[in-house]
Amino acid sequence: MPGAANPVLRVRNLCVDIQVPGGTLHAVRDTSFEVSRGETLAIVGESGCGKTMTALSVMRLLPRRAALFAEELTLDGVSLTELSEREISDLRGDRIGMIFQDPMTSLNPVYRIGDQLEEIYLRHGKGTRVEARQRAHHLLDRVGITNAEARLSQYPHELSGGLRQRMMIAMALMCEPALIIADEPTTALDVTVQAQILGLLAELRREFNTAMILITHDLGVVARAADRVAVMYAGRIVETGTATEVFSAPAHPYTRGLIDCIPHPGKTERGARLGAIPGIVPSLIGDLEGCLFRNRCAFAENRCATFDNVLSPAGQGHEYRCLLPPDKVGRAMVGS
Amino acid sequence: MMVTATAQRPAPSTDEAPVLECEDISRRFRVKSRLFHAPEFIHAVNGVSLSVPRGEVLAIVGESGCGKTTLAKMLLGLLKPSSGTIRFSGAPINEAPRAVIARQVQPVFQDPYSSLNPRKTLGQIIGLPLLVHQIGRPSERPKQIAEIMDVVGLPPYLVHAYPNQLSGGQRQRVAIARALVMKPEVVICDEPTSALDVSVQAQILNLLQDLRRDLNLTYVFISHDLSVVEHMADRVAVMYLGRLVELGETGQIFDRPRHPYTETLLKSILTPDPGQGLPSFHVDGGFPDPLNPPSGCYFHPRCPKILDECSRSRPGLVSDEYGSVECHLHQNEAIT
Repeated sequence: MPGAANPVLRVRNLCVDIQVPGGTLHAVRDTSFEVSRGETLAIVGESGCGKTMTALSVMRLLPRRAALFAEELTLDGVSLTELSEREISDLRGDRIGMIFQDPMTSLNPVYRIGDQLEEIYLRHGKGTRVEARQRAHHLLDRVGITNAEARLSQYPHELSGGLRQRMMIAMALMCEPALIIADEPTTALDVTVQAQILGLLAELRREFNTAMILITHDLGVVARAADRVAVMYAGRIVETGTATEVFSAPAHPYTRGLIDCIPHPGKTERGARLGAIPGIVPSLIGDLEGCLFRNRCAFAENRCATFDNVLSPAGQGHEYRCLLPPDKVGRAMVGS
Repeated sequence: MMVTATAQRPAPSTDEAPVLECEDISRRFRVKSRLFHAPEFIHAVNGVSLSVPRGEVLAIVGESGCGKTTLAKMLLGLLKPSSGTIRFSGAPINEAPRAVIARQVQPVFQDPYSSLNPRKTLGQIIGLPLLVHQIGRPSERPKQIAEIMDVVGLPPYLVHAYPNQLSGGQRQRVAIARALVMKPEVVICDEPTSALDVSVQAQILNLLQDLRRDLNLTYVFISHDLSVVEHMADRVAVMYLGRLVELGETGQIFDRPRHPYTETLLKSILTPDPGQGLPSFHVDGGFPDPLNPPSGCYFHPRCPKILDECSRSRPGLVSDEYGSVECHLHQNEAIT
């Protein structure tokens, strides 16, 4: 089973509650997953399903109003929940690299690129300023930025979106992290650049043997770039398995719905109606009971309202939370 | 469910004048002017000719910065072309007042969060064009608003709601209702679904298809998502650095692309097929600097099929029964 061999990150029963004016918002509920070295786990779902909150929990960057509970949240055996603010801050950028969606807002506009790269290296006490410079130079070469020396003395606004995202990747790799969390790394980029950046991430992940969590809403990105997939809905992982299993034989109606929603050149008929999931994502405030997808589900029954959301096996390393038998929702029209 | 609703597109009739026509339109922006220096210009749109028959969906694709949105703004009358003519049903609009243009062509923009006034109710938002253009008697307006809300699938009780009470999909329905209340002939959809989740995207795409069939609308559909374009469009126009480099029937473009840039775009589509991996293709560097466009064919520095003459001379636009293409590889096909 992939992921079983010595995972870098283990998350067991992670819950994130946020106090909002209307009550308690259960942003993440009972979420468990593992990522091993050299493996990419994609977390996919619609906005508001808890994917970013899950990532922020791992980095302990949750907003102040949010409370985090987890039976286990360990990086290489170190419990992240028990670390002090100072200790977790030492881990970020060192053991955990981060790549965010919008490279313009995550780079400091008033510092030169070289200084921003070196700062990470120096902050974590990895070596001298000269070594930091060399490492920055080497990594810019590695991520495909030509003329690295000149680029190091430029400011972020002088670079294109694709180059800035390459910069972010170089930044995440400065201290050779054990885990990279990439939150929508290609959403702000053009399609041609998107494929290049994903290819680069895959190559570097192999080269540095890093574990990666890829957060995205784009099923195409997931299918092409991930080893394993966790589909999140309303704060819960509703289906998880290898990318091949999940896309070719989805067991949860939500996964099936998502796959049917996207037009697929050559597979869906041009101009035909797309399968849409009716309704919208439910509110996560207050007491939540049963399967939260039941109001939008074509297969919903009365017993769904009291479903206890246990994970059932659907195949080798493939699990889902639904009362239906795993082959009930049928093969998706695409991806097979 | 998906297969039965087959595509029933009305064949675009050819005997009348195209509803929308632009002839060799260009738009340049002055970007730098210093004392005693000649001002510098960006040619955002550079000699584009298009004609859209009634009932057609013409998609415009290309990377950011290729001039898609500038072209859309000119078609909407929001920007005047620097040169060239735009015609609606045969009548030039260059000198026409905005109010006249607005009755024929209406926009749906990308972001339904910023394109709706947060302090107006839906009724006010949808009714504003009627008020501005003095269409119908004031006593009839609530009925007109109710009708159009029904058409786009908004429940009647939302007429007094404010945009912040709506989901993203509902907001985009409001934007569509506001465009359609004018009964325009052409709707310019500028990335209408890229801010939406996939399940909502499918709902909106289905709605746009239904409206087009029922109201015999013509769409100019701007998108960077080629899977969506393939699904929606009858014809596709590919733009690169302000120029129209290829135009053709959707099937033709997707099955037998002729311009190397179109091929590159198509290869970068990430369909949800796990196991296929990431596309590897040769496109060096990023998008060129529009202030100093490359010599000859603008695409030649990134082109995998570069010929000797590509850097020396700009290819002419070659048209045949399959469409038109601007590439040295296809220069000889014109004579036949």
